[in-house]
Order: sequence, then structure tokens, then C-alpha cells
Amino acid sequence: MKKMLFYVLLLSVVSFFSGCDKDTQGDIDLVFKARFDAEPFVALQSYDYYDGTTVLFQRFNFYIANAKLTSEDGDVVDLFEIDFVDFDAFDTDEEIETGYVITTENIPGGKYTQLEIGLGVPPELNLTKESDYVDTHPLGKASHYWSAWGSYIFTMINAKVDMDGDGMHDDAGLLYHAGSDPVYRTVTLPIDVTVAEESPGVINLDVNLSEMLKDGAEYIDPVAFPDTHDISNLETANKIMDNFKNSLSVQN
Amino acid sequence: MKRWFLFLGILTVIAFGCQDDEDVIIEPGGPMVGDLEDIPYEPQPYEVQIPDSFPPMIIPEDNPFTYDGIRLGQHLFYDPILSRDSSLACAGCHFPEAGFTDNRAVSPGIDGIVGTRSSMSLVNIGFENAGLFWDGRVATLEEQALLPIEDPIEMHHLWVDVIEDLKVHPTYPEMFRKAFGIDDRSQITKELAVKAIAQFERIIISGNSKFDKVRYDNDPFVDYSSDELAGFQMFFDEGFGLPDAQCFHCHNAPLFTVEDFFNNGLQNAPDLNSFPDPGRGAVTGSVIDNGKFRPTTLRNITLTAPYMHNGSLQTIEDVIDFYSDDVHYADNLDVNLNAPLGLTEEERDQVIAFLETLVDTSYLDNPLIRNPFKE
Repeated sequence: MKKMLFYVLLLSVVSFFSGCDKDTQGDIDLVFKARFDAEPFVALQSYDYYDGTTVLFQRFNFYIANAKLTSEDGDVVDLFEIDFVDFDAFDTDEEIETGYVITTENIPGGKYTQLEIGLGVPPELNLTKESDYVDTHPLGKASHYWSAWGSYIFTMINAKVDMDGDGMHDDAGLLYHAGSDPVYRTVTLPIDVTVAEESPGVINLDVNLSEMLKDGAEYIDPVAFPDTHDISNLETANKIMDNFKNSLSVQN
Repeated sequence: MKRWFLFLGILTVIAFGCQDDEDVIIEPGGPMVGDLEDIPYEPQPYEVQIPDSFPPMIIPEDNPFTYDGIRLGQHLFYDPILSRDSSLACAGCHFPEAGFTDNRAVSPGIDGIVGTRSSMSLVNIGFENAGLFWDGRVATLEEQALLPIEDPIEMHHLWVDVIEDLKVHPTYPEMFRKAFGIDDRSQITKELAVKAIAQFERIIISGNSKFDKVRYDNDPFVDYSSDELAGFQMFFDEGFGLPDAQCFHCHNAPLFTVEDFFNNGLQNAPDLNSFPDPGRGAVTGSVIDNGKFRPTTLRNITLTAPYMHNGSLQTIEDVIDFYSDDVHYADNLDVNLNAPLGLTEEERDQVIAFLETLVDTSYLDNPLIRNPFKE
């Protein structure tokens, strides 16, 4: 009888723990936090910039795509096809503290070791246009589709520079709008996250906007290269997207 | 008690017996329970014609299009019964021939009080889901239609009184029955009234302009003049050695608006807390949204003068001159407008020539859109 009780107990314990992984589901949050070097990103806040100037940012947003997790067993779980991360309105302590959160519900429980995401709109989706979607869909944003390019604007960085130090950021405007298939990037990041039914997983992703604007050790010259509006010249756009890939890190 | 039933029966016979289904008249103060049940409720779905180039329209599940729903909304839209003194209809500030604006800087309400913002175009309004009014303070057309009725500077009425007026009206109870299947006039509500108005507003679609024929339909019999083409190229920053007129960032095709809010530099303010009209900021409570407004559609724009949220620019030429030369700086001024556009006189005329190709009032061919009281 004691032996039987032992096996029943053992079976229960095994069932319980295996249930936590394969048979249970939980949510996962991708939490994006932006900064400008050591300072948190705040819309319309002034930051030290190129050659003694200061810059303030009006828009900083980007598409992310085809997010996938890889479990420690090598299983791949798709999170979402496309989403939009938007820091344009980040100007309160609460927003900065919380970050921009994208939640995917009901993914298999377990331990995950790798996150893969696309930066921008992947070619198969970039074939579509904003009028294919209602304006509440991430790809339905008319403000982020450029018909002359036949492309979405993957990252939008709109900023103003105070070149003469008078406190007015009216001397130069930065319009770094990277788009078109050649500038799409993917990034794979190591993670250590466990998802369980009562304990959603959280992946904190840090993006350093300052790094995105670099050309080597210096910033991209805001006077010589103030925008990325020429589809025939993707040099600056490619630079920004390469920087984007390198400026993204996991903070767990 | 028996006498009361007899009286009720006679009254019912008087009320219904001598009328055909198309012309039911119920006397004020008459019986209510089930008094509309004899009127057929046979809703016919209305298939809205959306241009191929347009995005899908979100149609609320609880408010699908029906001919009778749209017809009721059309009548309510054009009927001054919604205002306290029955002098002002929705159409009083939204003339169909003026792109559903009223060609005034700001509109007077029934008490002669003028507002601070210009009447907005309703053309293609059914495709906009990022917030209605200039400041985006409501999410849906159903919510939007609730507000002007009780606004003291607009219709200055009370919904409870509007509904009482509709209940005793000679034709509206029947129209509500046909639109929504109510059993009796006591079931007429403001929620049903605004659903009908929203159905009507969603069918105001303009997508058959010269621009559409050239750009989307590839109509071999329609082509742009050289000026229109140059204006198009500057509008969309297509290059070709022409300057960027910076238009499409806020007014992108096919709707010629976008789902966002902008400070376009119209208001001169020493800091972000000093805009005369804070616009979007008053809704979000965020200082960086002060001075921002929703970009109105540019479809039919040459019919809708005067311009801007406060109607302060009288002509389309004034608008182009403003964006070229007179934009006021603020930290949240849209970056695309940070520097003067520097358009020449010829280039300004070319942009206007392009804007004129966005005119299309063919929606007025639809009898469900025209004023039914003028038919």
C-alpha cells in the first residue's frame, strides 16, 4: 500500500512539472526602452549632439516583424508577424519607466534562450500598402507609407538641431526615414526567459537612439546628410539600420 | 376598466385602421406599447461602394448598413428638429456641395454664438478611426453625433427633448421602426438616432476625382496637364528636380489625411503651454500635444474655404503662402515644416493645380446623400 501511494505521488509530481512546460501556456512581454546614451529617451527633450550642438526628437518609432522565440529544446515559437513601436509621445516618468510593451498571449510554457526579430517591414509585407489595411492596423498607417518608394517607412526619426546655441532648435531638421527592402534587417539576441501560466515572461529590450545616428565614432553630419528621402541613395538609411541592429540589446 | 380597453381599441383603430403601411400617422399622446408592430420591418442591407484604392472601412457589428437606417440618418442629418429652436440641422454646418463644410471660418450656433473651430469636412469620414473632431476627442461617428446636439454653442438642445419630439413626429417613429425594428415609439433612443446618422455619414465617399482617374484607374482619356503633374510631384516629393512641398506627410493618398496629429505652425506661441487653442493637448493632457490638430482631408479642398482649424486662412493661395513663408516655430512644430518651403510663384500655382484635381462631388448623385427635404 505504501509503495502504491509512493507511485501515485510520484506520478502526480511528474505530471505537475511536465504540465508547467509543454502543456501550459503563458504570456510574454517584449518591453522596449529607448535611451540617448546614458539618459532615457524623452520626446522633445534636448540632448548633446553633433559638434557641440543639441538635438530634440519629435518622432522615434519603428516597425518590428516576424518575432520568434527559440526554446532550450530548439522549438521555435512565432510571436507576431508585424507590430509598431512608438516613442513619439514618451514624455512622462511613468511612460519611460514602463517602456513600450508588446504582449503575445498563450505561448507554450518553458524556458527560452533566443529571440529573433526583424527591424522594419519584411519584403513580403512591404509588397502591401497602407490602403490594404484599416488605419488601426500597424500597416494601415498612412503616415508611414511612402508611395514614391513603394515602401513603408521602417524607422522614423524626426529631430531638430540647435546649431547656433540660441536654445531654438530651428537650425536644421533631421528626417531619417529608412525604408525599402534593402534596408530591412534581422537580429538574433540571446535571452534567458521562462514562461509559465501564472508568470508571464518579460524580455527587456534596450535601444540606444544615439548609436543609431552614428557614423563611426561621430554622429552623421546633420547638415550634409539631414534626411533619407532619396530612394536612389540608401547610404544613410543603410547606416541607420545597421546601427539600429547593433544598438539593440537585451537587458534581462 | 372595460371602458378603458374599449377606448384603447377605438383609438388603435383610428390610429392604424385608416392608414396604409407607407403612411402611418400616430397622434401625439396616443398609445405606445407595440404601436409600430404593424409596420413591416424588413431591413435591406446596403452595400457601400468603396473605391478599390481606399482602405477597408470598419463597420460596427451593431450598426450595419441598411437602406432604412441610412435613410433615417439622412433625414435626421438634414432636419433642424435636432436643435432646440428647430432652426439648425447638422447640414447647417456641413453643406454637401461644399465638401460637407460650411464655407465659414467658424460656425454660429442657434443662439448666434460662434465656436472657435471651423466645420470639418465629412467626406470619407467613415475611414477615419484615429479620433474625430479637430482634436480627436471621440473615437466613433456614433459618439461624435451625440455631442453637437447638446453643445450650447451649436444646437443647444437636450437629447431627452429631441427624443420626445421624435416620438410624436408624424413620420420618424415609422422610420425608426423600419431602420431598427423597434416595436413602439417609446423605444426611440438617442443611441439609435446617432447610429442612423453614423450610417449616413459613412456613405459620404469621394474617390472619383481626376487624381483617382489618373493615378488609380489609368483612364486613357484623362491625363494631367504639365502644371498638375508638377504639383503632384512636389506634393508627394517624387523628385524630378522639384522641391518637396512637404504635403503628403500629413495628407497622404488615398484619403489625403493620415492617422496622426500635427502642429503645423499656424499658432504663434512663445512656449508649448501658450497656444491659444491647445487642440490635441487638451485631450491627452500632454504638453507635447499642445497646438496639434488632425489634418483634414484634402479631397474637395478647393471647395471648403476658409481653411485651418480656426478658419483663419481665406483662400487656398493663402494656405500655400503660409506653408511657404509664415510657419511659426515651436518645439513640436512638425519637422517637415522647420524650414521655409521656398516655392516659387509658379510652383505654388502648380501645387494648387494639383489640389484642384482632388475635387469629386459625384457622391451627390446618390439620392441617399442629398437633402431629402429638397427632393
